[in-house]
Amino acid sequence: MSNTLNIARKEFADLANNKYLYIVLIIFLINLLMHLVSLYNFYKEGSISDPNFVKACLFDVMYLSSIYGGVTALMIGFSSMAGELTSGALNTLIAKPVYRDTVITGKLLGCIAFMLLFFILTAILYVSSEFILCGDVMAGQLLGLFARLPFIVIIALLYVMMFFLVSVLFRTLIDDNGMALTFSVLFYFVILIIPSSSVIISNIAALLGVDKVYLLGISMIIDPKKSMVNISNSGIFDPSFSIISALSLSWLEFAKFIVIVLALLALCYISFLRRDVR
Amino acid sequence: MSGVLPIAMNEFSRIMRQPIILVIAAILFLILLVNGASSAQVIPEFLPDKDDVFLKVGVSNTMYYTSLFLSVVSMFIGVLSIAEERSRGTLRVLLAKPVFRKDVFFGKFLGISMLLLILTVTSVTLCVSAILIFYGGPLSLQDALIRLSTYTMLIFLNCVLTVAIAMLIGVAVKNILGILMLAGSLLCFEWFINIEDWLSSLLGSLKYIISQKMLFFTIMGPTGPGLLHTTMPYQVWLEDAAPYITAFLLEIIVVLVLAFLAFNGDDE
Repeated sequence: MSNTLNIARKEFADLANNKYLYIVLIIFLINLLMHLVSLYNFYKEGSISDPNFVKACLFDVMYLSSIYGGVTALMIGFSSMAGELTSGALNTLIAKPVYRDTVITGKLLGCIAFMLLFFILTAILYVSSEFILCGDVMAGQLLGLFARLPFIVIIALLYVMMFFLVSVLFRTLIDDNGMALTFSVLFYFVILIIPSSSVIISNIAALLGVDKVYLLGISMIIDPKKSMVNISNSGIFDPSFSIISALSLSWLEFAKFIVIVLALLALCYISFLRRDVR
Repeated sequence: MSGVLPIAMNEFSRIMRQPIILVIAAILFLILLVNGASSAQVIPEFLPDKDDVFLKVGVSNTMYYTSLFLSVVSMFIGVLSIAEERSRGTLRVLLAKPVFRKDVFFGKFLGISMLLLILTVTSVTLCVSAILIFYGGPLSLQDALIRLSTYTMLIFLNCVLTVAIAMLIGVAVKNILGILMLAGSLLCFEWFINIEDWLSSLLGSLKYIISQKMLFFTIMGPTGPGLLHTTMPYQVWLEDAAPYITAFLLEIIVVLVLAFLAFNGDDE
């Protein structure tokens, strides 16, 4: 256990010292600023009512952390494996008296801790900035807002874990850095665009002679963005709605995320344990 | 020029063998074929229409995917062209040969551009041929040919600008992992972030310098209906799009010159 924690700590420190990752995080923070300004403008114009403001605030936190956080997670996963594989440090590490599963568990834990910390900081930064700017509309619902925040961070983390694990998997399976990242980015594009594309779904439906709405329903099963929309619509952002009820309404989407994450985790373990590290 | 061509040919044959080109081309071609094969059912749903639905629906439906997937190819082969050779040490060997640095840089750029031109022409041809086979021809062959040629050229220019940006990143950043991370993030953020309103309020018309995707789609339809809408005469579209096309070309030249200057000043 101590070996796992040591590796996790080192992985966390490596990520925290990666200057290229900071550039990715800065791009992420620019997006956060854009959303912040946009919500503030709605507030100034008076076009958003009190309960809707908190909903919009929570939605922004989840949207930012998941959709844009997906890119960040992709880069974190790639960087965590590629850095040590390229420099040969992983060869040295697995030559030490530690199990391979300790290495991969430690690395994954370090990365997850880094992402979790980043999302928590993002959420706190976003909510506190909005509170400073538009405190009067949020004051009455602060408790409801903070009670929902941990759930939203966990949902976002589950979502981005898919992209993180995919990039770890690709980098473990493919020796070439460029190729591994290209495949990861390609996966990101394909999974976010194809299932939700009405053009492609209409084309396939016409070709197969099936109903477009029916096919769209099937494609939504594999569309992670749609799952996030379903979770959003369950009332999780609404302070007047119970969190438990909201979670029970969207349990299927949670189960889907958990199954995908577990399957990818298993694939990452198998590929890392069985593959020669070069 | 004599030094540029062999390097361009070598670059062309090197990247042709990259499996990622085959994978992305296969996904794109499949989307284009499915679009063509379903056109017999899908296109008539939009009739009657004042525009030629062959272009407005058939070809236009594939514009986003064609530009997206070709941008992915352009970005990654662009960043890796110099960065990979530098990390393997083969760039040192190449620079030790009696060739100018400009030959190496522009040779690589030319080689990549040739491949992208072939990919773009193949994609558009495949898309159009599939629609021709399964649905039928356009209302006016001459008009369609002019518009399709311009469409192909614009998609190609979009790829060339992506390659120029990618080469600038590849030359300016020394660490290959850093290069890949920056290129990947830039690509994802460029295609997934809707920053138009924000950039408009902040930068006005200068927003087009920041967002390549925004500039590309504005060229396609600067004022309302665009290149693939036949109700807008080609001449009118061209007059509207000319300033944006000029900006696009200038951006390519500026980025390419910057990348070359960075490569030339490199102490590799």
